[in-house]
Amino acid sequence: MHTDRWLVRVEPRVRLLMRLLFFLVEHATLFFPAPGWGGWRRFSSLRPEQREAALEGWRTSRLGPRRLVFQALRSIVAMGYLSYPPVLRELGIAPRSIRPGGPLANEAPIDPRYAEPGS
Amino acid sequence: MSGSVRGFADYRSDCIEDADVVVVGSGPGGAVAAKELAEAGRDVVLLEEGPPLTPEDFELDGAISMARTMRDSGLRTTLGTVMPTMQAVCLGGGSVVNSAICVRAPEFVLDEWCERYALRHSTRADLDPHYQAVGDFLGIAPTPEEVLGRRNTLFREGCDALGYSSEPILRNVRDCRGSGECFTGCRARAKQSVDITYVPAAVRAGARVLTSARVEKVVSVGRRATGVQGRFVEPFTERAAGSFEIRARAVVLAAGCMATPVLLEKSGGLANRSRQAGQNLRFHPGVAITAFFDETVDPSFGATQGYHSFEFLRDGYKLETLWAPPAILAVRMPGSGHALKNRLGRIPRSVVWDAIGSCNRSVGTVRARRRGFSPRLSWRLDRRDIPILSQALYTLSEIALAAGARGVMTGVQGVPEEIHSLDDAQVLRNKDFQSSDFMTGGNHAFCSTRMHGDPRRGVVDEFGRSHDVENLYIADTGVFPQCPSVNPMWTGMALAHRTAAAVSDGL
Repeated sequence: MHTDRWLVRVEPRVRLLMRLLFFLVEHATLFFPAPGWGGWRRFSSLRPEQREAALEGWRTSRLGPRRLVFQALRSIVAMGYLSYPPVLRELGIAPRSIRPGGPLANEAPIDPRYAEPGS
Repeated sequence: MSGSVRGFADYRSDCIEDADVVVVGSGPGGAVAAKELAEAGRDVVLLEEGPPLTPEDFELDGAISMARTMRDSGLRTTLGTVMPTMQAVCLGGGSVVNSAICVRAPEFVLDEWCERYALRHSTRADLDPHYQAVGDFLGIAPTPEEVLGRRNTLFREGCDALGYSSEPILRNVRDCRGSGECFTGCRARAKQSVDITYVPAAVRAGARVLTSARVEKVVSVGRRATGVQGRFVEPFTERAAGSFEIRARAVVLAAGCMATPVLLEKSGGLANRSRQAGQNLRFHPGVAITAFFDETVDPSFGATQGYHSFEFLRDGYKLETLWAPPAILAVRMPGSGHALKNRLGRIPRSVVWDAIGSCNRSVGTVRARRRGFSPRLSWRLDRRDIPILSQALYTLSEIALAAGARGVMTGVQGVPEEIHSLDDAQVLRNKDFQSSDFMTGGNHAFCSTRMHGDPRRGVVDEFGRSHDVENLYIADTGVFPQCPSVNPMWTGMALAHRTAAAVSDGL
């Protein structure tokens, strides 16, 4: 959902490129199967360890464009994961309440938008 | 006399206005030119395509912030060597979402500019009065110790251990809270971006500011520009509404080095007898390391970029500390799946430091697309510039290990995912890398409308005057003839300060 909030703000031309990216990754294993039994299925139908192996193949490829596809995909996912308030709280890097003349950031409370509900 | 600031909701119908000078673009260059010209008694209209932003508009989420404040949703890349590059679209331009680093171009760089590009008045001594005027107005000062945070002081300790020079970064910031949020907009209003400094000063001196106003054409008759035409565009959706025309005695283009050439091309190839407009595009490609320590660093606290080193400027690179929204920083982290997740878990004990390379042999072009106003950018990292980046990463790794880092990640293909010793790092000095091995980012862009003393070889002279169109000026980083080797904002503003005087004198 968080990633959706971002994607809806991305301009249509870029959104189309992203759809193509997802389509490519989803269907590439039909032609270049992931290791193990049933590795020729679509990416989303693979077992978790097969998905990881398929992604590792993109990431460590000797071909620059394949690595680029992986980086683009990972960037989209990472942007969602590391924008999720519970993740940022867990890592201790949730944004603080900042205001002009207020306390320094390391002494300020966590911004309400990132604080634990009810805290 | 006080001017005005208008936004999208203020435009009821098409409009035609007259002025002495119309300035296109409210970023660091345009805002300086508008303020100086207005204070010189000129009737100024300042046009900005984006909206004004307040702290309430600043998104803390890195991705959403980029989608709101950057052109092409912050996902613009070059073709050729694929490299992300950004351009802000809001009142104040890049100054709203940069880390406020202010550095004067080194003397040796400006001397080279003068020698290679037939410039006679652009030495450091020539530009120092203009740097000073901007610096005094913005209150440029070193980052105070209380907001450095451990991420910045570890860099200092590493440099000290190796005998490398380093210093707190000079910034246009007052009363910094150390939130590390420069790239998504300063909620503390500590950053003295031009939307809260130069633009208000221009308005106080009578300038009229039109935001959400996209200039689509420079109008000219013979060798004279007569004004600009464009459309009002809705903030964030960019939906076009009414049209406007500003008729002026002089036109100053300060739309940024990736937009000004597009505007000239869309205006019928204006000011381009030299055929240099849109050519010579250069960047400072940036590379970065993530280093892990035993201690908790709390990397999100402290000035976004609080410390840097000029030690290796003559070798082609400058070293800096860095913080950005974690979602952006994670892009460079190696690994996937569980390995990546484990690395992300070490963020509280990590620092990110970066280097910018003065890659003058790597050039590209800016071209208009048939539809729309987004530029088509082509750029290629020249093989001869690759060692600058690999050596910079080696030096950053060296500094991190000297500061006590347990591991260093460079994100470079062909280098161990995690470096634990200088022996591990030697590969950065010995391997023959390809451009695609690096994850670079290019947010300092210049040279697309370069200055040159010879009208056949440059678009403008060293005062920003077009060689071809009598009353057309350019006041953005496109006029740089080469990489400045350091962060470009202050130099761009100093040149714009000088250009403003030339415009006023020419009226």
